[in-house]
Amino acid sequence: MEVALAVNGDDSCKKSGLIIACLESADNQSLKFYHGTSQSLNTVESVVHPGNPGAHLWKKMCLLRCKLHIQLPLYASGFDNPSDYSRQLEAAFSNLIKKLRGDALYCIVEGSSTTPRKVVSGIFKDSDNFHQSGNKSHTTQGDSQCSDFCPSSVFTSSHGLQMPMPLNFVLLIHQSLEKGINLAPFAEYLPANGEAILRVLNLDLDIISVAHRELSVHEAISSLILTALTDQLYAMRDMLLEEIPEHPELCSYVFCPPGFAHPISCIYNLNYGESEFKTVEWRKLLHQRLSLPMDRPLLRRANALSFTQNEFGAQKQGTQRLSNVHVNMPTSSGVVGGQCSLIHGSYEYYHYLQDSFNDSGWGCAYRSLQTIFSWFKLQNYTVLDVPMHGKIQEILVKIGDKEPSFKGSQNWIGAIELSFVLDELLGVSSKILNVRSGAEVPEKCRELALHFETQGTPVMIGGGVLAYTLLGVDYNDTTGDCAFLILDPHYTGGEDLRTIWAGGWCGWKKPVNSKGEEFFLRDKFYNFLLPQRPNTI
Amino acid sequence: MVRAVCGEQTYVEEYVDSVLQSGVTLQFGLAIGRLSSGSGRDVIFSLIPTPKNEGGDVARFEGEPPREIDKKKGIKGKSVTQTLQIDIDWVAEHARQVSKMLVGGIRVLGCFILASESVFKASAPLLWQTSKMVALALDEGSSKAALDDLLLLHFSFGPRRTLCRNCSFESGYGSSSIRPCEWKAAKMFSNLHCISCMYNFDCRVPIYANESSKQQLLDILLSAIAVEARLIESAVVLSDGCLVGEDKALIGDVDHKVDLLLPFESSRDYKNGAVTGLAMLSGSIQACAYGFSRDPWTRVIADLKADIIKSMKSRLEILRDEIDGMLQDQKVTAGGESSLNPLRQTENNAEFRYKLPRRLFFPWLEGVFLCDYLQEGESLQDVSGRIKELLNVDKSLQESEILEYEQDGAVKARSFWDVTAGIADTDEKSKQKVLNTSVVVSKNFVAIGVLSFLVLVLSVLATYFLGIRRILKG
Repeated sequence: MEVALAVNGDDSCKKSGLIIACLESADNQSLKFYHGTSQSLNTVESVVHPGNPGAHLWKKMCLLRCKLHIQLPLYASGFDNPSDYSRQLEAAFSNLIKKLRGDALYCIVEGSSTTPRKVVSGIFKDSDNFHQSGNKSHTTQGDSQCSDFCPSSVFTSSHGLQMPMPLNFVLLIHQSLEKGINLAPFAEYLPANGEAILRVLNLDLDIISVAHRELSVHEAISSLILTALTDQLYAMRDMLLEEIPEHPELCSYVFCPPGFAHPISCIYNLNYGESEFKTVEWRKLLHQRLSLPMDRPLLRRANALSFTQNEFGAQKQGTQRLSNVHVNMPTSSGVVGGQCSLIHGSYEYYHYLQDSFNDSGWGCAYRSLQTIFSWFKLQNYTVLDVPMHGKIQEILVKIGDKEPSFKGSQNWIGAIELSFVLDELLGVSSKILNVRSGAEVPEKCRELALHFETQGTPVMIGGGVLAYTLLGVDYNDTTGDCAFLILDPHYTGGEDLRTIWAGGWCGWKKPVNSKGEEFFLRDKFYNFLLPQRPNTI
Repeated sequence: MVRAVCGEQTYVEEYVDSVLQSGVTLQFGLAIGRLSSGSGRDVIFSLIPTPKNEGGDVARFEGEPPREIDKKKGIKGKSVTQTLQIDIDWVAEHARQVSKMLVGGIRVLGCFILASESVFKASAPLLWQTSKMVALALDEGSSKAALDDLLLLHFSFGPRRTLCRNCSFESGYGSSSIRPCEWKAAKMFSNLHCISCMYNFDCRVPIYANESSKQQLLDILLSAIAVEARLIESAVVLSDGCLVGEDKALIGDVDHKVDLLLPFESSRDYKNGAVTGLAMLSGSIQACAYGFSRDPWTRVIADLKADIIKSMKSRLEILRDEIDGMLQDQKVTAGGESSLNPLRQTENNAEFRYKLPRRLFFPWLEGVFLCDYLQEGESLQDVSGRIKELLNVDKSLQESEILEYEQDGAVKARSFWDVTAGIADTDEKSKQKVLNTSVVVSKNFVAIGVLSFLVLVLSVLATYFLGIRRILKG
């Protein structure tokens, strides 16, 4: 087993080293961990938590966060050529970084609203210098630990991960220091003597760190918070060295993409919109760096964490809608030896009589559309609200598909109309599968299974009959046996999972059930609406 | 709600008694005190009579002395034909000057008049007018929409009475303009404590090339102070290392020295553009504010912050008065071109540095310190004279009594690019220079070294060959 140790020039590596993970051998899938410094390589014991690793992690660790808005005035003789302003830019940034480690920096630690804010003073030097200077009684007994301030509340990321609310740090500068000479005020005028242009840089730093709960607050600030801020400043400086737009605005956002147990932060140049080429290229690069899937948006600004209690989005309409009602269902599909292909991601269950709106008898397709729309919203493809019936009708009138009299009516809509609305509101294109007779539906199983495997979006079943939402298929391609996971929008009851399951409002349906009843009627035609997942990031 | 006011026993009531005993029957001046926090009583600490204006009394009677009513003849004459005249402009100017000397929490709360009842009744509109002019003088430069109400204390004799009234200036003089207030007297200096702090600041204003209205530098600096004021509002205050002002705590029974903390790199509203220069106001200000033991921190901190801003403004105003005064004299004496003080110029090309007046504190009453500003070239005598005149203080100031926190020193010269790039750049530049010179020097040494080595080699070779030749020859 060969291990290549790449220690970069950073001094901190000389003490802390790198953690290396490697496979024991080509056949064995287990990982072994080593701690390597420039002098030695030692084995590290690892413990695997197959259950909920997040819970174990956050019992011992906590999150630290610091948001800083900096408005940096940059003076240079010109801004067309990097050589004109690069020296001034570097000097301005190194000045800022010096201030971070200066004598006048103070920090307020904020936990939850119940614990009082505390000011941490003292000089926060680099960990190297700190140790060299002989540990001047900064770690006294009175020093508080991060755990003293940890809020007890948690927040949930959009992928269901639960994390503790972070400790907030606010940076301040001491304006009343009395050392050296405190000169009485004086007025000065300094002429520029040549070309001088001022450009204001707006920098929004947002750093997040993971720290052990028993770490002292002072050490946390000097080794984690200030180091992270410095790193972000250097990253922003490098972005600005390439080009400085007229009104530079760099902003850091915090994300928690799937597969990560902790948040990460990314810097975006707000001068370019979300869909502009430069931003898309930048996002592609970030996706590649983090090994994230390249076909769904995970690092758009809409996905950024804002650390409110309920990241899933407030239930604006007041009702607590159920999500993912097919999960943990007690009944099975009844197909033996079949391959189950289900919807990916999350959705919300929309059905009759919700939001105190009586659409019983005519609104089933509308409700199915709302379920599909909620899927796109929860997968962060859009920030728009799920449209109500009126809005849906409005859109169909607006694009010319329906007469103005359609608005306010109780007319049905079909798969075609749904595809129009999805295209208009979300830019989502859809495939339509026409089936002339209910008896032919099982033949389409293979295609539907492929849809769920590749696209994973919910499917709407419309046509000459009632509308349904299809969440998955269970298909045995040898025997031809199949079952369809149907979510029925005709449900008129309350938001109770057991009732929904017991009544079969969400359940596996076979084309012909045990009593011989057909689910898909042979004399009716069916249209399947297959929304295509936008292949964008 | 009736305004409730409490006057200091010694310096208000007993002062008036002593004035009456000395035979004075008419006096006008200012009432200095502190507004209450919340619903308590406003406090008057002391009365300061307005000094004479070049020998003439500020308040005097014009007209004939009162005639006896001829009871026999039944002629109904006016018992008083004298009318009260007050030098309103002088009073307002006095108020403005005294207000500069007051520290945080203490302000000119109104005026007082020592006169008989009848005089007061007859001159109420005039007194209201005077109060209004004082309010205008105190309000100068502030951004408030309406003038604050001022108190009007009336001390009458025969019988000796104190009447306190509130003057409001929302509309013209009317029946509701002067309203009575509750008055009582008590001793109150014992509970007063001082909160002080040193505030370092570095205020920069870029002067843009394309600004249509060329402002004078002085006005630019005054607007810079407005920006600084907003920053100071957001400052967090530390006392003994703990945050204060966040809850409802009271200041307690001791004096405090506090620290002000501002958010890191707080924004100062710069705009993009071509810049011709940088106007800067920097240095350290010692500020202080007084509060009672039972006052909440929030109130005293607000007073302290207001004191910082007022001190900055006062210094610029003092300079402005002086420059304007010099300008007047120059215009009078030399009819030709007068060189404008750089602060008053609109087109600025030359670099300059100007020290602002320095603040010093002197003891006033019962341990309360007030302040004055020492300008360039002034001495302790000048300050002492000013205090005596403005505050009606008898004894001269001793040097040992004066407290100076702001230091006088030479201001280092620096250039535009030094300041805008930051210290790092100048360090780099000087390091570069040192590096360059050392490289040059070492290059020279190398050259010398190489030359000398060559010379050595040549001489060795030469001796060798010469030696060989000799051997070959001989």
